Amino acid sequence: MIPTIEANELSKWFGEVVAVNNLRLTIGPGVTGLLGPNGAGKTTFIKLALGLYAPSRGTIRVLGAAPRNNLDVLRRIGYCPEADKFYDSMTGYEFVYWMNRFWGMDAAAADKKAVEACERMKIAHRMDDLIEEYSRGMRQRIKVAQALASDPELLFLDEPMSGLDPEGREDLFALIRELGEEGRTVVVSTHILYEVERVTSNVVLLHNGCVLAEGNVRQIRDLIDEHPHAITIRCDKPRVVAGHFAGDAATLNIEFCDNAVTIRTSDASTFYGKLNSLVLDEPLEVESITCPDDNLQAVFDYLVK
Amino acid sequence: MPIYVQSYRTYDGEARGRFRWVTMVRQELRVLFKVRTFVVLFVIGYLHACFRMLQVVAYDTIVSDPNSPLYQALRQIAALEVNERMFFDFLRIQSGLVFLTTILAGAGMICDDVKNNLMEIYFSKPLTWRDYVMGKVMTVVCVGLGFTAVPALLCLILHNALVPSFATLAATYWIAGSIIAFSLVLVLPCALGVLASSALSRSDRYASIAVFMLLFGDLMLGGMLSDLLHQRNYSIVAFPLAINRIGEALFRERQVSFDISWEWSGLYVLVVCVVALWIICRMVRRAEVAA
Repeated sequence: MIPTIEANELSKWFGEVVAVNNLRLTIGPGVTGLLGPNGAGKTTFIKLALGLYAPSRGTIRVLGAAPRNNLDVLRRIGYCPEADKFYDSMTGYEFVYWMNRFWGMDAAAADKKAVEACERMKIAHRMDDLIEEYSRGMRQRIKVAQALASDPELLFLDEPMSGLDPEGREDLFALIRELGEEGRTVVVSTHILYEVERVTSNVVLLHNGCVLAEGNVRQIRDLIDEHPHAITIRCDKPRVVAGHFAGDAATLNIEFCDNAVTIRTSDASTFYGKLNSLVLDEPLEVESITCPDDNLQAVFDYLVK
Repeated sequence: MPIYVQSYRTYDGEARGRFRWVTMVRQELRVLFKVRTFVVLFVIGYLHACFRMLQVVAYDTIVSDPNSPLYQALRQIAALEVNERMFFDFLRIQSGLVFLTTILAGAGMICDDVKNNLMEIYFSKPLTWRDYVMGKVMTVVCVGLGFTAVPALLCLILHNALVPSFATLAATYWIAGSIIAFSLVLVLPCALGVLASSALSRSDRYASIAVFMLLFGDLMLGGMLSDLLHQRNYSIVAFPLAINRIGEALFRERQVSFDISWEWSGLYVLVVCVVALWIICRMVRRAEVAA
């Protein structure tokens, strides 16, 4: 399959500041989370992919071609920027309509697509109000609407959830997943790990302009064998469970909390095997087995350390 | 075949290939006509144009007709005559409005886009920085020509329509060229200067103040040089006088403001235009790259 975005030794620096450093990265169809703290190079990467920046070194190919000054590529991309200031004297509909016109649609198509996009983002009832009267969440929706209006194959959403209320977030999570399922490439940039986890398990972790890891969150987690896995078992006899693993050489740390015990082990697969045996042998009432560090935050913390 | 080729729904219409800047002009004009001050200035400009049209009608129907009862009274008023001087005066009076509307239209045009983060949205669409610059410049130029060339040409057409003869046409055909050329000389440097100021400023207020200060500084410098050196030709440094000098040449004025050749004034205006355009292009490119 042809990757939608392919970066090869991609670097971008501004004076002495290296924003993106020797990035080798491929992103295919579906939803990909671009994750990293502020200043990690997420927005710079997106702007390189949009052709807004020329690479200082290396190459980037988007939809099979270099994006810089390539209008054919830009026609196939939608972009929702992080900033949310627009022409306040315009209505939401007018904003999306004119963005469609700038995209190159004729008046009838721009009108039709603008209305469709507003309906899809559930702002059709407010689309004729001035943008200055919109809440931050509404602005966010209109911004996503203008990105969606041209039915792009590749969609960049830069911090799309900021300012959205819980209902709006849920709507956008569902929309992003839907777009991914339709076969589009959706790149969601955020520094909030929870947001990415809600839409995809496929992530690219950026830090200081470099790719720390890419792929499935669990696969990435499994790769970090040198870090202990934390496993929390909530049951009626947490001390029995702890006693069973206390003498194990792989067990590094045991913590109790209410009716739960958290065990950090350097050998997760052996641990799970033993736990299975224990549950079968002992009369334990296990409520839940969770891995508190089987999430992006833990992965990110480990990788950045 | 990539999955997105198999399943995504693309826009099935045709995308505009050339003249993408036309969309920008339309959008900007729509925004401008929502500004009350702009509409008021526009109406004032066209009131003047209507007055001139009345003058054309009065001259062509009354003064040209010896049987008219007002013939004797009106033919004494030289200012009523429809000739190249009338068009030159009309454009000179309109130049003040052109200056004001250009500032009103252009001062916030680029800096507001930068301030409102619209650059990155514009350039994430199939728009190049050339389309953007062209769109902005053409908007302000269209506004300026709307105050100058369009009403002046309408007056000229009206004049030819009221006195339809080969002699009228032969006597006035060159005025059309002069009107267009002088309108461009009035509008282009003004538009480019204001947009350059907008590209360099953070807000429309700073851009407007900068243009006003530059103009007054330039006028003062021209006046000081001509007074101190007792040489009126140094007045050419004052930009409005340089433009006026070109107008005098275009409308074949017999009495000119100063002796210096109009070509020098033309060169001055050209240099200002080129420098302003260079600033606009450079700053937009920078904004595009930094978007």
